[in-house]
Amino acid sequence: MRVYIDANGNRAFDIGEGVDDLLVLVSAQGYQVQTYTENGLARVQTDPAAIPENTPLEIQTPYLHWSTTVKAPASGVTASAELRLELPVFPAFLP
Amino acid sequence: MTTSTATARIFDAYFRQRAERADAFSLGDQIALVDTLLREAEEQGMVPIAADRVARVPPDSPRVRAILEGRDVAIGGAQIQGGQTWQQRMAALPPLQKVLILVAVFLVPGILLWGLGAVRSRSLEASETPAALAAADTATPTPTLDPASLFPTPTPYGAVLADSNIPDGPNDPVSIAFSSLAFTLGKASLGAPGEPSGEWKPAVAEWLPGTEVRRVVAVPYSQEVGAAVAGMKYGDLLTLRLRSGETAYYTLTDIRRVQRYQIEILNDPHPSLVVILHSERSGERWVLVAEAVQDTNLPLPTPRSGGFVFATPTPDLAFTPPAPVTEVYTDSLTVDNPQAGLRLHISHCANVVQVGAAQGAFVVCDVTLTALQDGVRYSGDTLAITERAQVEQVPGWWPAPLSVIGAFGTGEIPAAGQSLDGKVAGEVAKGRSAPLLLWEQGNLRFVISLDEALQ
Repeated sequence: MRVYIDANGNRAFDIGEGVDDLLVLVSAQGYQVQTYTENGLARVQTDPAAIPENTPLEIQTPYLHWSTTVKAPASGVTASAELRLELPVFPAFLP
Repeated sequence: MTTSTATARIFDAYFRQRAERADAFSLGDQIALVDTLLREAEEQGMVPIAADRVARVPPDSPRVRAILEGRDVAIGGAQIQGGQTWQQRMAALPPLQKVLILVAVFLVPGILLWGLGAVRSRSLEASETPAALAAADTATPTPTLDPASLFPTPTPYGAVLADSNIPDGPNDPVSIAFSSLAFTLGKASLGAPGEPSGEWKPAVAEWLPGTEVRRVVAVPYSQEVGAAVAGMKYGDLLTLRLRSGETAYYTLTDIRRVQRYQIEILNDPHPSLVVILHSERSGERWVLVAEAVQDTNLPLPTPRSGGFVFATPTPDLAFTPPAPVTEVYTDSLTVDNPQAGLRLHISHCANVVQVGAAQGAFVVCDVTLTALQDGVRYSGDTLAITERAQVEQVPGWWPAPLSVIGAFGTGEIPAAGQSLDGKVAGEVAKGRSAPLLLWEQGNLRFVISLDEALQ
């Protein structure tokens, strides 16, 4: 799972754009785990014995009110999700 | 002799503020404070005109003397005529009359009423016990705080917002609460329609749209907010209420003084909140930084990364609340501000009809700032030009800034005796009253008549 602020507007993740310390929840079939992003990236390892391939995995970032669903990958494979955020328009100086 | 409820409220608020600053809670302390206020009025001509402002008027003015000596003064009656200085004419203005009369009439009963209220509020405070907060494991747990107990008496929302300024997204913040204060949030817009964007001029409290990871909020820098912030400590909660009805909590991690151009404070890749105390007469701003509380009841499967860098908290909040501003009316074109360590001299002013792309009625003045000591700070944000009618009608009035070529920036004059030349401009659209130059720095606010400089 990757979360980043697209500061240069190129619609791709670049170094320095990752959101840190964002809570990420992953749930499937009654299991739920949480982790935090580091350099924009959060990783969760699933057990294929408990969560078979193609099982829907719900990924949430509660702070940003965002969620998506991906399919559980086969053993040794990675499934990914991405949240791209626009850079806000900032004032030229503080009010 | 008549007085109004509004002026009574002004004095009451001013007295409370002075009493709190002096820790004058006992009746004896309050009576001593009364003596101090009377002495200030009698010897220095200082009278309150708002909760956080006092005006300095000539103590030898016949009007002031009459009130201090306990004689009746008719409001709206005979005016001081002919031969008076400009300060004396200022002292004779109706709002000032009311305040002066207030000093004599409301001093003792106001204190007694307030004293009773203070005793009552202190007993209420003593009975409150913070409940435990059932917080989950987070990066910075706050296990002993109950958000509800932190805001026992929030200020009623008084702001009136235009529909277009109300945050409309389901997850947009609509209010902020910290310490004992709460503000309804409007949605900021950078630049009015038809104006170049980039300038954020919040009226009251606003949220900057689009700020989702680090949410950005601006609240006014005032006595009320300053007192609330001064009462906070690191780890205290700030609450944002979202349009969806959700409540987001943040813990205070830092408070710092930044230059107005340091907009990097607005952009941070961690879930957090920054609160700007806006509209201070300075080139600097206080900002509060708080980290989001992201709690769940789940155990952490992986240790949290140590990537978040906190400012090193100090035991006491490094914050100085705004002090009362003393207002000095003068027609002298050279004034010394000992608190700022600066001398201001107005060499020349001119009426102009265009400043930049803006057309209308403006006054532009050539001004020199001279350091009275080494290493003094200055800022163009402390200077403005406006009209007397505006100053008379609104206590603490400050016009919208007007940029002009040659205007002062923000910086430091390194050595005593060194000078800096610059321009100050302002709109005088009403045109029916005399233009004034305002200089507010170091808790002194000079209101300078420009009649002579325009001749």
